[in-house]
Amino acid sequence: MISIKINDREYQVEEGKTILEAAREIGIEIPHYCYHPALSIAGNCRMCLVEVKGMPKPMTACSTRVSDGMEIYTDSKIVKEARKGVLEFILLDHPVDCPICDKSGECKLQDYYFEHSAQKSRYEFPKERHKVEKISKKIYLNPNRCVLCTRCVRFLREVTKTYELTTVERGSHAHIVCVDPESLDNNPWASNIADICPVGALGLNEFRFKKRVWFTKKVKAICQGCAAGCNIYVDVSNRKQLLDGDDDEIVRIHTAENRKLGQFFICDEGRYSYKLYNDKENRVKSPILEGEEINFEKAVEVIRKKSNVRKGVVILSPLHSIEENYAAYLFAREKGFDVFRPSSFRKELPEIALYMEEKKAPNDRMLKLMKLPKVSEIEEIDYDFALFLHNVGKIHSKSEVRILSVLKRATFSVVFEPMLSDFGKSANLVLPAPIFVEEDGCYINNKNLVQHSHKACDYMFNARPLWEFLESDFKSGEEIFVRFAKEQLDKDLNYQKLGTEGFEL
Amino acid sequence: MSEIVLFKHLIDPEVRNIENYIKLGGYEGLKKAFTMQPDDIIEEVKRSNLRGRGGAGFPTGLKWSFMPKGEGQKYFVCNADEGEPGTFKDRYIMSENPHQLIEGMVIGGYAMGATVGYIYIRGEFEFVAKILQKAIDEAYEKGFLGKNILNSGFDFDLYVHLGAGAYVCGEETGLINSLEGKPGQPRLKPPFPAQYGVFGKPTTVNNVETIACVPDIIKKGADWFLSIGPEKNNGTKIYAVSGHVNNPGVFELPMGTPLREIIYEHAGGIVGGKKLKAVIPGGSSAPVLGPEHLDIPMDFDSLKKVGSMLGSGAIIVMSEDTCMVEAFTRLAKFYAHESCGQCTPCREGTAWLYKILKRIEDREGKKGDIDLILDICGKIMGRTICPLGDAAVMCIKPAVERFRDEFEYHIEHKKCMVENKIPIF
Ligand SMILES: Cc1cc2nc3c(=O)[nH]c(=O)nc-3n(C[C@H](O)[C@H](O)[C@H](O)COP(=O)(O)O)c2cc1C
Ligand code: SF4
Ligand code: SF4
Ligand code: SF4
Ligand code: FES
Repeated sequence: MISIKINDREYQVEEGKTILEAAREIGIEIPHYCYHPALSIAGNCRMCLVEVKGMPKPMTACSTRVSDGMEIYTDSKIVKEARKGVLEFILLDHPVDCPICDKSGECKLQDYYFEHSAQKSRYEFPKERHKVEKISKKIYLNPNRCVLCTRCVRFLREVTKTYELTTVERGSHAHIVCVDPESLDNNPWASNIADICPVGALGLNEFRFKKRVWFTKKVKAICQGCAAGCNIYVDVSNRKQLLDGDDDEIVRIHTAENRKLGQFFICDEGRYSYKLYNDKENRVKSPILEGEEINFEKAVEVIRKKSNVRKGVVILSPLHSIEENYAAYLFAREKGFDVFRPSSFRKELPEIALYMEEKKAPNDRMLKLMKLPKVSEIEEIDYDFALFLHNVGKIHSKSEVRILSVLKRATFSVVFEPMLSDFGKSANLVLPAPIFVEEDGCYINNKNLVQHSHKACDYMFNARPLWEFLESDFKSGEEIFVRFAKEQLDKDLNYQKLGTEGFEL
Repeated sequence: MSEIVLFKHLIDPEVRNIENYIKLGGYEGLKKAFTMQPDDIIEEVKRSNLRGRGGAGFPTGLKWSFMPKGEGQKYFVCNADEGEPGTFKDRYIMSENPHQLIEGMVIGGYAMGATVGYIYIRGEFEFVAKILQKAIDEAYEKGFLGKNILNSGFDFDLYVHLGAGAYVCGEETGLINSLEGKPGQPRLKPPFPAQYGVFGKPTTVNNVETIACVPDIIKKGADWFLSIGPEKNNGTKIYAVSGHVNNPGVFELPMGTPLREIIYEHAGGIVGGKKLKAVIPGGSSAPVLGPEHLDIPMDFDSLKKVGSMLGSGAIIVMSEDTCMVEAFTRLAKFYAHESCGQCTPCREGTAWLYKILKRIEDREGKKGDIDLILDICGKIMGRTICPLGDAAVMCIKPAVERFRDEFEYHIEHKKCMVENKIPIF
C-alpha cells in the first residue's frame, strides 16, 4: 500500500494501480471512454485527463500508475478545461440525434456533456454523414456517433480474438469498419460490443427503436443460461409506463460485470434467452388440477390432502433457486419423503468459451453440495405423492425420462413450473411458478460463488413461490436462504452479506 | 572549409563504394569499437554530447544507456523516415555516404547488445533504399555485417524496411508499429521503446544523421567532437535550406552557425534581393522566427531560448512576398492529413484548425476566428498520445500570433495583404 492524495485528501491505495482504477475503488469516478477494465489500455479518448502535481501537462488517469506521495487533482481548473475541450472535439462531428438514439439515457457522451460541458459548439462546418449499416445479423453500426474509443476493436482482438472490426483511414476520416460480417454473425460473444460501446454507435438490431431505457426497470440478476453465474442486467418494461402498452416484459438482457467472478461480458445465448421468458402464451397462469384451472386456496388444500401419505418423493431442480429448492427440501424432510436431484444437462461449449468450464444448469452446484442422490438411483417408482420442480431450460434427457415415469406412476403428482411442459401435462396438479426475474433467488455457480439474483417485477398471472403453496411458515425467500446457508453450508449468510459480488464458499 | 564529418562525398564523390569509404578511414571506428567494452562506447558517446538529430535533441549516449544490459533480443532502429516538411538531409547521407550509417549502426548495435538493426526508410525513397541495400551487401561481403564481425564474436544483421509514406511513421513508436506490419499509430508511452519496442523487445530508435556521427566520434574520440560547435551542442549539423533563397540545398556546418550566415552565405541570400519575412528554423514543427532572429546561432539551446527549436535543422526561408495565411493553411492541411486519427484532440483539432484557416484563406473568415484558432491550439497542446498534435500547434500558433495582422487583414478586407505573392509550399 502506498499513500496518495486525491483532491487534497489522503488515501491508501495499492501499488501498481492506475490513477483511474485507484480513484474508482475510493469512489471517485474519473470520466472516460476508451478505458475498460477487461481490455488493454488505449489512452486515445483523452477524457480521463487529470492534474498530477509536478507534471508539466495533464496526465491520462487510465494509463498513469500511482506512485507514493502522488498528488492528483480530478476536478481542478485545468482538468475541467481539458475535459471541456475533449468533449467539444468529440461533438464536432457528432449528430447529437439523442431523440432517436437507443443509447440515449445511458450514453456516456450525453452524461458527460451535461456534467462537464453543456456549451454550444463553435463548429460551423457541415458534418460528415455516413450510412447506418447492419454489420451482422445482430448488430448495427452508426459511424456518425462513434467516438473512436476502439473498445469494440480491442474486445474482438483481445477477448474473442476474432478481429472482425478495425479502424481504417487517418485523421478525421478515421472510422470503424467490419471486415468480416459472417464471423460476427457466428461470434457467440459479438453482442457485447453493443454494451461496451460508450455511445450509440453500436447497437443491437433487435433493440433498435424498441424502447427508451428510462421506460424500463433495470435489475441485477444472474443469467439462467448455465452454471457460470454471469451477472446480468435485466431490463423490464415498467408497468407504470402505460405509454408503451406492454407490462413486465423483459426487453433486454445486458452485461453487468462482477469483478469477483472476473466476468465482464455475457454470451449471446444468455443475452437473447429473454425471449424464452417472455412467452406468455405458454405460461401456467393458475394452478391446474386435472386440466381445470383452480384458485390458490384450492391448490393449497389439494396439496395438503394429497401429501398426507407415507411414500412420497420430491425431485429438486438445478434450474430453480436455492429458495424454491430448499422450501421443497424442507417440506420433504418434514414428511419423511425421498429427495432426489436430476442430472444437469451437459451442453457442448461454444468454440469461444470465456467463463464456462462446462455447460450445466445454473444451480447444479447447490444440489451437488447437498449430496442428494440422483434420480437414476430411484428404485421404487410407485409413489403415493410426487413433486417435481421444473423451469424454463433443460435437464439431462435420461433424467427427464426417469422423472416422467415417476410422475406418471405416482398416485398423485405435482409439477411446479412457469411454462406448461410435458411434465406438467402428465401431472395431476400444475403449480404456476414464477420466472427468475419475478423473485429474489440465490444460485451457486460452478466456482462455488453464491450469488443473489434480484426481483425485477411482480409475479405474473397467479404465479407464487413454492413455499406459499406448501404452507410453510416462511415469510420471505430470504428466510429460507438463511436457513439453507446455516444448515447446509454452515454459514451465517443473508442477502446483504452476499452483496453485489456474491460470497465465495 | 569547415570540418566534414558526414558529407564525405564532398571529399570523394564515390565514397558510397566501400573501397573508397575504407580509403577515407572508413570502418576504422568499428575496428576501434571492438577493442572497447560496450559500456565504454556508450560512455564515449555520452561524453561527446552527441544529441539526437531527429528532432528533440535528446542526448544519444544517455538514450543508449536506457537499454537493458545482458542477454535477450534487442533491436537498433534507424529512423530514415525523413517526413518533416522542409527536411531533406538524411537522404543525402544514405545515398552518398551510406557506409557511414552502416558503420554507426554496427557500433551502436555492439554498444547496446542489439544483434539486429533495421533502417526504416520512407516509401518515397525507394531509389535510396536500393543504394543502401547495395552498400549493405558490400558490408556483408567484407565482413562488417553478419556473423562474428571482424572476429569480434559479435553478430549483427541489418535490414532496410520501406515505409508506406506517412509522416507519423517518423514518430518512433508509430515507426515501430509500422515496422511490425501494423498501422502506423503511435503507442502510448510508457512503456518506452527501451523497455518495449520492436516485437515487444528493447529497442533504440535514432535518426540517420545521429547514427552517422558515431563512427568518427569513436575513431577520433569525444574530445575531437567536443571541439566542434558551442558547449552542449557539439559536432557538425546538416542544415537543409529551402524556400525563397538563391541556392537552396544541404550544408554541413559546425553546430551553432548563425542563421544569417547560413541563409546569406551558404544559401546565396534571398531570391530577388527581397527582404526576409519569416524563417522556420527546424522543420515545419519548429515555431516560426522573424528577421530579428537572424543572428541566432543555429543550435539546440540557442533556438530553445527564443521559443523555437532546432528540430531536424531544416530551414524554410520566406521572403516578404509570402502570404502567411496561404503558407500556414498549407501546413495545417499537412498536419490534419497526417494525424493518425487515434486520439481525440489531434484527430478532431487538426482538421478543425485547417478548416478555419482554409476559410480565412478563401476570404470567408469570420471575426473571432483567430481567437478560436488559438483556443483550439491550447486544447490540443500537451493532451495527445504522440507529439504530432503538439507539432501542429507549434507550427500554427506562433505563426498566427506573430503575423496576426495578416490573418486579420484577410478576414476584414477579404483579400491578401501581400501583393504579387510568391507561393512557398
Ligand atoms: C510526428 C513526428 C514525426 C517524426 N519524424 C521523424 C523523422 O522523420 N525522422 C526522425 O529521425 N525522427 C522523427 N521524429 C522523431 C522521432 O520520434 C525520434 O525522436 C527520433 O527518431 C529519435 O532519434 P534521435 O534521438 O537520433 O533524434 C518524429 C517525431 C514526430 C512526433
Ligand atoms: S450517442 Fe449519446 S450523445 Fe450521441 S446521439 Fe446517442 S445518446 Fe445522444
Ligand atoms: S463503435 Fe463504439 S466502441 Fe467502437 S470505437 Fe466507436 S464508440 Fe468506441
Ligand atoms: S497525436 Fe495525432 S498522430 Fe499522434 S497519436 Fe494522436 S492522433 Fe495520432
Ligand atoms: S480513458 Fe484515458 S484516454 Fe480514454
